Formats: sequence, C-alpha cells, structure tokens
Amino acid sequence: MSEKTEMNLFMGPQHPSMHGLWSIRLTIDGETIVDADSQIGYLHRGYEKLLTNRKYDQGIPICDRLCYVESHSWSTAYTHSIEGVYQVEIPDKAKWLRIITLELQRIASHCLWLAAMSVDIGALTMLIYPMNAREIILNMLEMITGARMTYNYVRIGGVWADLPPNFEKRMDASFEEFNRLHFEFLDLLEEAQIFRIRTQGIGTLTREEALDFGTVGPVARASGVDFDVRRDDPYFGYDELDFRVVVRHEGDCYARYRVRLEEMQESINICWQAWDKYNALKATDPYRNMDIPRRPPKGEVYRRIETGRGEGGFFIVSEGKDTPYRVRIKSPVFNNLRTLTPLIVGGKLADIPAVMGSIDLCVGDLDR
Amino acid sequence: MSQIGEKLQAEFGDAIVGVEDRGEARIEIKVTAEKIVEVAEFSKHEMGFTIPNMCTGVDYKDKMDVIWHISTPDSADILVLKVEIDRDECVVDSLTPVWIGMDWHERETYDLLGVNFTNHPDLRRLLMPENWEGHPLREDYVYRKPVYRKPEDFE
Repeated sequence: MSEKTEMNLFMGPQHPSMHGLWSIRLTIDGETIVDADSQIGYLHRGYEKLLTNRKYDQGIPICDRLCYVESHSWSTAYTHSIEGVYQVEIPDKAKWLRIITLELQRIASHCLWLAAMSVDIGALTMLIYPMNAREIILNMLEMITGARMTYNYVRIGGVWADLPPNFEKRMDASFEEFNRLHFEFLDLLEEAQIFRIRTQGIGTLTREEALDFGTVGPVARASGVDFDVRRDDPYFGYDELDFRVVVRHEGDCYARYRVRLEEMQESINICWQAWDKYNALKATDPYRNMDIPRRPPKGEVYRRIETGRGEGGFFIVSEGKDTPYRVRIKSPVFNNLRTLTPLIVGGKLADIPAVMGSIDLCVGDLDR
Repeated sequence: MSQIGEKLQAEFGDAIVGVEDRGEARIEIKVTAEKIVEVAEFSKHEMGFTIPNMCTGVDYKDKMDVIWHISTPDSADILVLKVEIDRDECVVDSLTPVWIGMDWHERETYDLLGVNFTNHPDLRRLLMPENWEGHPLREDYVYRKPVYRKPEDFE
C-alpha cells in the first residue's frame, strides 16, 4: 500500500464552524492535514476606497460597521487616527468615557468569542451562558450610547454624550451580576475534561513564530510576547491606570482561552479605575472639544489602539483636503489568521475548529 | 528616536534618502529600492524590529510609494520604511523573506495597487477574485461592471 492517498478537501465557506465567510483548501492524508491554503475576501467591501470618498467625520459611522462584534473599538480607532491628522487634543472627560466604553466593548467581544469557540468544539450549552453575560454589558453600553450594536458614540474631539445619571449604581449591579455568571461558566468549562483534551497542547505557536508572523493581541500574549498597546504605546489615559497585562507561555489553544478570560476581569478593573478618574472631574467639564480646524494639515499618521483581537489601527495620508487621500486599515485578525496554516498543518482535521475558534475570527475586519 | 535614523545612516550611508521623525515614536526612513532588503535585515536582526506590522502602497499618480510599518515588542517605536518606485513598472523587492508575516500584506498590495514584489514566494490575488482585471485602488482605475476573464483563458 504505497499508493498516494492524499486528497483535497474544501472546508467552507458554508461549513458551520466557518464564522461567516471564508474557506480553507486542505490537502489531507487520512485524518492528517498535509497542506492548507486560506481563501479570504468573501466579505471584501472596499472600506479603504469608501473612506477616501467621504469626509473625515462621515467615515466614523462606516467604521462602526467594520467589525460586527466590536464596532465601538473600530470607530474609536478611526477617530483616534483622525485626531492625529487634525492634531487636536481631547478633553480629560472624553478620555475616561472612551476608556470605559472601550473596556465594556472588549468584555462583550470576548463573551461572544467564548460562546462561538465553545460551540465550535462541541460544548453546546456554553452558547447561552456567555451570551447572557454579554447581554448585561450590552445593556450598559445601550445606556451610555443609545445603541446595542453599532454605537456611533465617538466624535472628532471627544464623544457625543456624557454618562447618564446613576451610572455608578448600574455599573456596580451589572458587574456583580456579570461576575456571578462569569464564575458559573468558568466552572462549566474548566471542569469539563473534554474541553481540556481538545484545547491543551493543540495548535501550539512558539514565541519566535508569533513574532515573525506579526501576531498581535491575545494570540501573541498567549505565546509569551509581552506586548499590549494599552501599556506600551499608551493612548487616551491608559498610562495613568494600573492594570496587569495577561501573558502566558504555552502558546496553545488553552492558553489563548485563559488569556481572554483573565482579560475580562482586568477590563472590569480598568473600568472602575477610569470611573474614579471620571468621578473626580466636575460635572460641567466639557466632554467634547469643539475647536476643530476646517481642514487638516498635510501629513501621514499611523495610530493604533488595542481592540479585543489585538492591535487595530489606521494609516491615513492627508493631502490637506477634507477627505483623506489614502486610508489603510491595520486589522489584527489579518495578521493572526496568517498563522493558521502552520498551526494546523501536521495536525488532525478535527482540531481545525478548536484552533480557529481560539484565534477569534471576525471576517468583518479581516476582509475590510 | 533619532538614534535609529543615525544608526541606519551610519550603516548604509547614501542608501538612506531621508529620515523624518513623525512624532509619537514613529520614525520614517526613506530607502532606495536597491537596498531595501539589506536595511530590513539589519533593522530586524540588529535593532530588534521583529514584528511586521503592515505593508501598503500609496498611489500618487506620478509615482508609487510602498510603505512597510515594523514595530518592536520592547518599546512604542514604529519603523516606517518607505520606497519610492516608478508607477508604470511598479517593481520592488519583497520583504516576505525577512518577515513571513508580510506575506498577505504584500499580496493585498499587489492585488489592490498592482505592486509587483520580486522574490515573493506566492504572489497571487488575495481579496479580489483570481480572474479580476485591473487593480481597484489605483488612481486611474475606472469603475465599471466587473470584467471577468473566461475560465478557459485562466490556467
């Protein structure tokens, strides 16, 4: 039996674990993967051209639609870069408001990831629990921004609304409820041996590979790369806050899962610190800088923030007009997904959903 | 920040066309097209710029800029390598052999802007269909109904 036994298999785009629209061309030998080639671009909407055809502020609600899981991070990233082009500062109050909403958005995004990943590897009950927890966070975001999915909360120079009255009480009750749920679903997963068998030691990414592929965010931090844009290239007021960057060294699916879980707790911590800073300001302090020049100066700006999936940023070339000349979106998933081929080649076919789920895919900002 | 530029200028001399500190820990290095791979190797191995951040191109109608952003896990610095190339020929050396993470970024730049990267291991279209004609982000691209090549023209 020395015949060639390899065969080609197309996984996706209709496969249930393919979170939206993309596919892999696999070459398999029995159950072992010999070669893999990711096919992306099914959701390519031409964002870079869309943004250059519009004025700067008209691009912000569009960037809300970049990623359907954490739209607020993306509109903030774009606004942050525009503020770099216009060279405007934002008032202190806006900084803390942005940090609170960004961290809430990160928790909501991680909750959705947990639900999706658990379902991918067969823990079907886990679809419900993180979704419940996400609901609590979404209610808080709705209270601040007035929307549940595409928030359109930031403006050039600040945000459009202050916090509603009684927000502290609401935050207190919500985080208490969230923590109760959090530990409930933690028990459900951590105690399940099947979950550990399917994630521990699967899809291991070494530190050298993580650096060489340019991975960012939780994927890089699970492989021992101690880098977080919030701490190492601080924006808004993150340098005044005291928080821990979660780093693990195993580099497998379980490490990536743990990093995100612990990040959720860290985000709650950051929210409270930002609330304290916000609370120290006067109620009459401005939350929006209205002093924006009509046209920006010429120049090139690249600014980045830490989204739930890692470093997301915008490279903007300005020619001095009221529309950008060129916009390039740096998507965290774009870099992270490139590691999929080395992660799954040599492994088994059934490991693909576990590896893919742990990368935390959002096709919206992958294809742009 | 400025010592990064000085170090590269001392090492490569005339190959560094310009150094500009853009503020916020971004330093822009303009390099001649011939020396870009050597400068990249040097900045990776000697200066610790190990994270390939992104690669992109800017079409200026009379020239094309190809820009690589490289960051480092140790600090906030971002190295911006910039090469100015002829817009009609549009050929530049690929940096994928240096940082494998540049693979998809350079494929996308080829796809949308038509920059041909030499020595790239697998230069195919990434986002657009393989039988698409033209490069949509070029300034002279005409928007029209998509023209596909027939399957039989396509190997």
